[in-house]
Amino acid sequence: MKKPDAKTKSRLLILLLAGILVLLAFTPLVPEAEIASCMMVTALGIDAEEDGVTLTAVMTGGSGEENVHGEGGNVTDALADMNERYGRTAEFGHCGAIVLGAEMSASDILPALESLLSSSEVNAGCAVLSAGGRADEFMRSAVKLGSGSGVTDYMGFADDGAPVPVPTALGVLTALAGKSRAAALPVFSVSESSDESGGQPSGNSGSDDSGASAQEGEKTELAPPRVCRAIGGGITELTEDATYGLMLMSPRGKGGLIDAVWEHDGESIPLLGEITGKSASLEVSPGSPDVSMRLNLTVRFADRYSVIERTGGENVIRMIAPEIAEAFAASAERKLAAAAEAARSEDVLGVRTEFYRSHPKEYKEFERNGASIAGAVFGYDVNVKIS
Amino acid sequence: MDKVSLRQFVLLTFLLGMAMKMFNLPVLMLRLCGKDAFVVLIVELGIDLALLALVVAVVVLSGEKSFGELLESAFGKTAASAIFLVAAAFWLVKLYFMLVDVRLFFSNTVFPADVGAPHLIPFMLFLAYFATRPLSSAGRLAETITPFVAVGIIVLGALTLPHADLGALRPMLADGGEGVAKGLRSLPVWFGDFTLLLAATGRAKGGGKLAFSLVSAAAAFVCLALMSAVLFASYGDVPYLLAYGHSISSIAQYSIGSFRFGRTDLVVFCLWLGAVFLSAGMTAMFYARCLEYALGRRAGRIIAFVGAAAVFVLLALTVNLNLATEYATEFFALPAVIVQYGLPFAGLAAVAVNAVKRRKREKTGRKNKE
Repeated sequence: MKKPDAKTKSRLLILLLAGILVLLAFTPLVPEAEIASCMMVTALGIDAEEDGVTLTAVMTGGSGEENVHGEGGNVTDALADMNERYGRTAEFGHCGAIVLGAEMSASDILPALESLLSSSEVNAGCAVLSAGGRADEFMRSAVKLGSGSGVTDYMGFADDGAPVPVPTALGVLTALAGKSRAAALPVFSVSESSDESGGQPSGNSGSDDSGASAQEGEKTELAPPRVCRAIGGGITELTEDATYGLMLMSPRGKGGLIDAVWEHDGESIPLLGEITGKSASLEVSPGSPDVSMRLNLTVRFADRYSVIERTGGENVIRMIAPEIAEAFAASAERKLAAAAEAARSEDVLGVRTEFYRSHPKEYKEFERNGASIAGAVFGYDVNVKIS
Repeated sequence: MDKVSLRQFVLLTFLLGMAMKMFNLPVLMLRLCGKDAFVVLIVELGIDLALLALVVAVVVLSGEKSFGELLESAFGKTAASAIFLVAAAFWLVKLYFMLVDVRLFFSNTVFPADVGAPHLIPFMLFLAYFATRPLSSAGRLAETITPFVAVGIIVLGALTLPHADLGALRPMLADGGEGVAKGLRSLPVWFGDFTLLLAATGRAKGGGKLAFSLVSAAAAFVCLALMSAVLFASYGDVPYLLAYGHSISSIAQYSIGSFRFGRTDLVVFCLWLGAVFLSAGMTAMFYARCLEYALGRRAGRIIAFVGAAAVFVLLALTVNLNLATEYATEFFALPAVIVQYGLPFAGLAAVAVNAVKRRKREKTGRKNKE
């Protein structure tokens, strides 16, 4: 028999490989991930109970969204309970938000997030927020906002444009497990009120920051977040100024709008600007410790024409731009000061973390002495450029 | 004649420089060395760069002699065969650990369940076929896949680097050099891939210009260091969250926002997997060539296939992939150092010995003439 040449051998080999690949594609070597046997979770709520946790998940399917529940001694047990209850496996690949009940402390949050992230149940980049009350009540109300949008789309909008920093799951876990042992979570709440006009509900689109329910005579709105909750040794609700100061120092979020007051000719003129660029850094020196908060902002002046009207002309704007920049800088500095004051009790700015990273040897001594930043000296270096 | 061009050699260097180091290694380093992982990585990459310089020196100075002919002419057939048998045994074991890494990656990152050994049958067949091919096949494959790998790495970098807080790499060396020493002691199995380029001894065109491969290796190392730095910075305070096999995919998913946009990181990894296939193929090729030299062509090929089958059976019987990874750090670090870093030195020594012998012959020849 004639020996096959090299070309024929190559062709036979390629055919053999192709055949193996085709066979493998049709063999049940890997359990099939059937969509029908999964519950696609888009948001997860966690409440701490006396004897464990309650999970409330927003499950999305072909016909809309609904809530599913699970209970257990810990998150893993609660997930197993959820899967058993509904005869399906919860799939968290599209989970964009973890909502924590208002009552959850650091000692509740840490094991819950560790459990979810170490088993790769959820993406480490999903948003973590605090509900105004219980997470399950928030989730029940949020689901009414309509299918397809709801909580997670609002997270996407809030992440960039909200005046609060929206942390990721990994960010919260790192903050709580690290040297700072504190994290700031934005507080989201859903309000339900009677719609006195009895009007038709508006559609809920991804760019709309409030939604309306389909219930007649009742209006459900996802309230824009204004404050953060600091979670560390205790649970503290921060002021709006402190929250805004945190947002200015946070690498996440662009900042949104900033207000200021400009003193001109004995008159207090309110100003509004849009932050179009931001860079912030924290420097810690050993000592009490000494903390320098550096912030550079680019602000698009939104009140140009009203100021022109008051001051008399476009040319004047160019002359007074430094004064306006100073007014915005003063406003930003007030907010940073509020954040710094809040950080003295719960280290939501990450002062201890930055201290440890830049001066690990001095930090050991600082830790032996109690690691308190109540007496830290904060300095501010704020520069604003008007565009 | 089975030769690789200068461009092919440079591209092979680029691919070998990062291929297997983006799988398990960054997570392993983070869990072993903590915040010192980045220091360990830089030191190991520096050592590998020095290794590449040695390999290039051997390739350039050997002239037209292959690596086997070089060692044989310096130390004799028996010594050379012994060296190749030891090297073959090591590369077979390294191939096993490479396949463990591949299994871990697909089990923890791609598929919802553990990937069994049968999944790797097509890959093993590819490796067996590749092992019988000439070196020029590897060169041509490198030319084909490098653009895809480069695009994958650039896309991955563009998606992950803007969100990275590299300040979180600190503090490094906070506890002295203990973490660094531990890493250097435990991780040599994942480095030293440039030794495979000794297969190009006597088969590479370009002469002294082969030193350009150092630039290509440095480029690969910069990519690897940046990707690893992002992982170290993001998970440095919570390394226990990562499992072996999560690799750079974890940070890619985190940065890309896979819960919003889907698993685009998998598309990127598919592009980069070409480098992994080539690296594993070169390992299989080197292993087969070592056996062919030591035992002859026919016996060498038979033993090569038997060894590959044994690796597959062992892989199928390996239930705890994490334990296999830990064995590599505990028991195979020293053999890795001896073989991977010893072979280029053996090559250089052979070049020196041959040079001395040649000078003696020339001297004797001149004396006889007189």
